[in-house]
Amino acid sequence: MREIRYDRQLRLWGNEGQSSIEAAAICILGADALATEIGKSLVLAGVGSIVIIDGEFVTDDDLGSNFFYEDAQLGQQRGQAAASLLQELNPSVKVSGIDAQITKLQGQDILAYGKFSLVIATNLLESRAAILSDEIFQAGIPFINCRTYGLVGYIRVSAAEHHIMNTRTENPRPDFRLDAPFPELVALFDELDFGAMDHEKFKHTPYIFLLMQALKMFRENKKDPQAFPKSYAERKQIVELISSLSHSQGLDEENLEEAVAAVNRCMHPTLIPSSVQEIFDSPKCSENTKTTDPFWMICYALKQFVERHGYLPVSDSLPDMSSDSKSYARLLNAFRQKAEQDAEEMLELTREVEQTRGTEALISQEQCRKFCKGSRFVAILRGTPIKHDMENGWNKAVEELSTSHGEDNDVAPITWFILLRAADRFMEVKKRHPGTNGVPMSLDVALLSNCVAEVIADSNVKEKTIAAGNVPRKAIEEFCRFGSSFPHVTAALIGGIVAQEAIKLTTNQYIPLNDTLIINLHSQKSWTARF
Amino acid sequence: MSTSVENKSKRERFHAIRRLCENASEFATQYFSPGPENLQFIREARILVIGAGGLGCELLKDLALSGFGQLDVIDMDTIDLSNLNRQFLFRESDIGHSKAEVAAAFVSRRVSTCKVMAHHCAIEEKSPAFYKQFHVIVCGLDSIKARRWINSMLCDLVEMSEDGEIDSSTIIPFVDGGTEGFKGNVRVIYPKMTACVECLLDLYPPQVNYPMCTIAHTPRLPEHCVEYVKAIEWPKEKPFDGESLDADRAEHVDWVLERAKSRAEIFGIKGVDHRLCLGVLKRIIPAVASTNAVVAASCALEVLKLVSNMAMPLDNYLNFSQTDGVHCAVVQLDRNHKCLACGENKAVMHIEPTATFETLMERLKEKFHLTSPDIRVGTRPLYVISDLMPELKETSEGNLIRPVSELIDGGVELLLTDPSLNRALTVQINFAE
Repeated sequence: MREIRYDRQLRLWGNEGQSSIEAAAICILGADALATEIGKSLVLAGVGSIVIIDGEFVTDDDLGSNFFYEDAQLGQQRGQAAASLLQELNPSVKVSGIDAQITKLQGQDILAYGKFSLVIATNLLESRAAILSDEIFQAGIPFINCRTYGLVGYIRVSAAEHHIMNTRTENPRPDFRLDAPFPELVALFDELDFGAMDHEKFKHTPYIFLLMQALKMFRENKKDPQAFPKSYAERKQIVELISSLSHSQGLDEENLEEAVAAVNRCMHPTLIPSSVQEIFDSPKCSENTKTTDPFWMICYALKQFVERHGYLPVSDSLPDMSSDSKSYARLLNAFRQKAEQDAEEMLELTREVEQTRGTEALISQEQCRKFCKGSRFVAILRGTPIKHDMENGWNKAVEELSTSHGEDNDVAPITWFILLRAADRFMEVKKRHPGTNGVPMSLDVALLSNCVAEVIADSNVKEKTIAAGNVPRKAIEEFCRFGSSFPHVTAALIGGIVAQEAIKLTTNQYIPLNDTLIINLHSQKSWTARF
Repeated sequence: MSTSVENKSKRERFHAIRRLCENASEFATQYFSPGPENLQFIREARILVIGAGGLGCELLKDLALSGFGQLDVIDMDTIDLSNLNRQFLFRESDIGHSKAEVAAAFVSRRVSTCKVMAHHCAIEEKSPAFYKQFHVIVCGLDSIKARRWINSMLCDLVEMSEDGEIDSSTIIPFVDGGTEGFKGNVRVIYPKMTACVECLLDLYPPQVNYPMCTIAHTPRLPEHCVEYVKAIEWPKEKPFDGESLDADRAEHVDWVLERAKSRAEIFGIKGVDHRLCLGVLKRIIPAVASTNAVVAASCALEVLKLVSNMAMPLDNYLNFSQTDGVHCAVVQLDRNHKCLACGENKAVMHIEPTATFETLMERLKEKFHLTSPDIRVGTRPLYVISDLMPELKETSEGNLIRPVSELIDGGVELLLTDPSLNRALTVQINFAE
């Protein structure tokens, strides 16, 4: 049942991704349309449990904008009402609602409600989100802050340290080890005699061997057995050498075309990627640390593996190559056996680390194998707390504004971020949204302009007037037009994106937003920044 | 609650949309005039949602909660367990029922201000008059064929005035969404005015087709083994009393799986399992709830803009991707004035007179993305395969091996019909020397 129900997503994140999702406990603060739209995608995906915290009651406006309330629930507690309708989407998920005023909560209160793996705040004032998230950030639990305001959406991912174990990069550059072939690959290559091949045999030779042969000839020409093409010109020589192998001027030789096409992508020295080196350089990746976090333990094992061999474990994900079945199968087997062997060694190293740190075996053989397969793409993201955006981050944001310029009807995206802060200031002072007091809009436009000047004044940027001048009046008017407008479509769009970011943080697959996103639904363009 | 109180209460709804409709904005189109009549127009507009699947379910919800009061939805499919990870209007007890009917009933029940009318049938079964009644049409389809069909229908509905100008009142704007995994796209099309589906046919990635010689002689991937059993062993061995292969039937899939496993064993190929086998047989496109939610919301927003003018519509193609960070990028794509659907609708192909008719047919299929065309000159059939006219089969197949010049003169116009076209296509064949 589970296999069929989740079939279309298992094809993306695999059984291991699904298991992580099913183990997740996610807390959503708020129960408006943005909150329930996030909840919807997460319940459908099959997360372990969801808790919705909210202190409001279902109003008529909720019924017109939120799909997870029905007319009969008018006046009921929102968190529980939404939980009951979300629960219907998937019986395997535990969905519950908690009645609490979010504005009165501290981070500790939220942590006390459950052992959450992720907390998502919806439509809070930023100052509120900053206070609330601080203890959650300190506790190492990732936090997503998101908002909708009229036709503007905002998402901020905040995780002290996030591990990316599988980027699921489409079409990754093949890891051929051309400069450092392992013995099994060399043995296969040595069986081939390019001089003695007929056309039939040649055209069924996998292109990796054509690359190896061309490299061999390149080295002979250079009279340097270690030579390796470094420049575009040298890679061009390789292309010519490959072409010289042709039996038929390239006609009916798909493998030759594939080899030529692969030169620029694959003829690179096998190095340790900088994102992996960054992990090795971390204090948590040394023998002095006592951490028993499985990620850091296996990374330390990886570091030792690299110290021993100079290279990362071989990956057995090989692209398809034109070839006869047997040659390809033997090639693939050579990579598989080597990958298997490297993974075995990595598992031994990992067990040693676990033993030294006094833990039981936390990393399974299967997990170790998967880790090795993607070891080139392992990375960490170090995030900042939301409160950073109120302090140093804010200086950067205003700096960005002072150098921004919009084009035509396009307002620079940073403008909307600044306006969200100004609208918060308006709300804090006036206890209402701009544009909602029933008097001519121009009054609130002037007041909101003042708020823009005030929040800019909070920064340490020198050119404050220039910065303020870069917020066009029409954008301020637009914010007053939005006022207390939270259209369902904006919530649905932002909700969908936030749910997927939550899946990334939960599965350690793909690459999360780093770290602020603004979407302006007039143009539908997105903008990513990190302040 | 008495009816009058209830009505008053429902008027309180759509506060968000009312603010956008009733306040002036420099971001609105030139046709926008703020006022309550905009929401009234949204309430009364006739919108057709094509497809009640992953995008369709979201679209119905999004439109109903944007104030639309009358929606129609058309879909010929029934509900399957594998839909439930994203098609949130369906429950396990709905499996086997019509998607359009269950979705329409659910949204009408949940959102009391909206009535959804279901059409459980193929889009091809509806007449031009049916499509003409809508103000905007929004598509959440997973098939290129169906997209081309509706696109061509909407292009044909555009009428010309006597002086040869487009009668803009006959244009039905059309919003099209598509998803695959964590990627998606949205486009806004004014038929005959802006780039249409047919103009941009090359944007779709080519279907993965493994060469027959690889499948038959040099299989390397598990997919090759499944394709072999499907294309060669099934037609040859005619299991299950000669039934055609149906990937929805477990016993058929198991048969293919067993055979594919044996073949993989022979060639030393690993990785043939049930999930892979089903993926190949059904050409499954991976899908998650979140991407559908994003793309559908973007489409629904565009419908709202088109109906109310409260903001500038998308101009005109949005690419969405969320594997590495989040990206929403917009590009302007141009019309192809030789487009078969919205352009001159006259195509020319050059061919050597000595080429076989089969070669000509293959080139026509490739160039115009056809699946199984029938070809005529005027009323004379050159290649027509139909159960209704079995007597034509032999001549048609005989024609395939003959040189083109034996069958037609240079400059002759061929008439092509195909399941992916909603009307015949005329192609002039010129002989290249």
